[in-house]
Amino acid sequence: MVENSNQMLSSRLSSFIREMLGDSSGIMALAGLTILIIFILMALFAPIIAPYSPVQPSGNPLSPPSWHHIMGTDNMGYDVFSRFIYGSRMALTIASVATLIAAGIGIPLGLVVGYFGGAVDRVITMIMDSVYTFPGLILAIAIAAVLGPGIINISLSIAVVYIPTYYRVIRSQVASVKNELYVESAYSIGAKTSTIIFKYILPNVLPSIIVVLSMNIADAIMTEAGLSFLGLGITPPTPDWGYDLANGQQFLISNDWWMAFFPGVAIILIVLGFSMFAEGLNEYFNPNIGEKR
Amino acid sequence: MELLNIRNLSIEYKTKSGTVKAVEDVTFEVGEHESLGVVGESGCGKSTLGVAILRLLPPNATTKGEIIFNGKNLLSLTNEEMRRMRGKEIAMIFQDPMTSLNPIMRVRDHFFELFKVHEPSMKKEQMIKLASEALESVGTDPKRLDNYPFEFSGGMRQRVMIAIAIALKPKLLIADEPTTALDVVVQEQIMQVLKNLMKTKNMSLILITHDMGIVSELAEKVAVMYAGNLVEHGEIKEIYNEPKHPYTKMLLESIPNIKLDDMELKYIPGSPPDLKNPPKGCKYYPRCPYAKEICKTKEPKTVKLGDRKVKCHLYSGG
Repeated sequence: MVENSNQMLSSRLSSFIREMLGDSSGIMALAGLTILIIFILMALFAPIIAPYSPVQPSGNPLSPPSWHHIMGTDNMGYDVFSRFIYGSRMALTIASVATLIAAGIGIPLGLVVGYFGGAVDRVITMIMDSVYTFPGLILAIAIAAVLGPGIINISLSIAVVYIPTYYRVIRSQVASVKNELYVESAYSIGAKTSTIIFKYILPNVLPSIIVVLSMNIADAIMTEAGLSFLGLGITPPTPDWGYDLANGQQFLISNDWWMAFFPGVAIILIVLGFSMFAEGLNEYFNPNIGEKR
Repeated sequence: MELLNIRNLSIEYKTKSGTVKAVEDVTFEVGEHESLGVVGESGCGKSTLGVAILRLLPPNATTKGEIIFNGKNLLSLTNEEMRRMRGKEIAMIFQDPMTSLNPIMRVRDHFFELFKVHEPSMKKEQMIKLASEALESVGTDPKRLDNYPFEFSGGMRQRVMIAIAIALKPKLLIADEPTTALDVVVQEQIMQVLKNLMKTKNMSLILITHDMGIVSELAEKVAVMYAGNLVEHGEIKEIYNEPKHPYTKMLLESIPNIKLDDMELKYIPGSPPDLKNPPKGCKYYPRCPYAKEICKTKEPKTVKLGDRKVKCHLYSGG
């Protein structure tokens, strides 16, 4: 029985991948996914991949890329490549914790408010809209400055920025799905309100949640890097791309480009990975988006 | 013994631009194993009436009067008690079968949802057995329980909807325009399904439709509604042979008949009144060829003519 369902899963997976490869949106999603998997593996196996400790000097300060230090060393003599590898841990951790917090608050809130509507809807939507009007990074800076450094604090300050995104998307989708006839017929067989919200409405808004989720992680990585760049993120010398970028740019003037270049590339790649994945998924779930007129 | 007794039922919708009187002082009853057709134009309140029996009206609706089902006034039940009636005692099927099923749930799970609500201790085998029986009774292969709704055509979906509605053998089935969204051939099949069910299951039926032909095929009694009012109610044969209310007359005359030499389509001139501020007297007088002075000022009383009830000044001696 178990074997049987495993078989079914693998055959479903292979037909899914075949389907994804069938058109351009699928290729885009898979390319994004590949980048993400590489970064995730990097984060998981950082101690094995990294040649040196990221927080111990391992060579002469400011040595350019060479066979010993393929991305060079920074002003403290840390190996840039090792910090590049370890930096993925911080970026992914904070981005996913922040996104999970934001989704964990925004999705249930959007579901319940979108379903019940009324005065509560007015009040909460107004609060969410006022959060939404702040430029994301500036709001995150303000909260981070109040909360102080630390993984949880940084995640929280990023999460607050993204709650309204989930709330708005879910609320508007729920508002249209709740008037579908299948919701009414669920009522007519005596289904409970909670059953209707979680079995009839939530699964039908799920595709948009997944797309928003992957886009938000990309955004959250940027925001995290931004906070660290400004010195509001993780305390050095913990490896972090944003901090390394900020640190490295002081040395650009003396042509020591590698210190800022590699963390920058890392941020670009991982954000690109998430964005391509999200956009590909979006086109996959809503086939009309890429359609020509 | 009457299964359903509706007494002086009035329903109003509060909207931003005023109060809509969708149903006004409607009284009728449905006996056991009886089938009643509710007919009328769009917007005459017939769907509102159907949904009101299940108490599924939107929150801006207010309901007055009594809906007595099996000796209990549905309007005084708690929400929880009412929820337990739905699907078990009273079931409903809707107009558009294409969107009545949750697209991401297998047909099987739609049945299971119903069983879980009303018989939480039911075993899975038992649930599958009941669902298969229900599907068979509407002429659908029970193997299709594992399919998703998109694998069905419109007519098949309506069969599935009917099967779900009757799976727990409700005493009353409310069918709100069950065939309007289907083509004529499928329409006929669905009517046959309903007819068979009426014969084999102990069930009463309220058939809401604008199609006089469908009513004559299935219903024993008919209630004609106009602008929220019940204008005529009685045995279908009597009413079809000799309509009393001017509106019923016009409705019956407007059924197209290819056999007549005069092929022109007859219709009722004018349009139904604005239910936000309806005419003062009889709601129908602006379109009524028999309208008298009194019709403009005084609302007619419902009078009994033999077994039938008519709401018109022509018969109230006014």
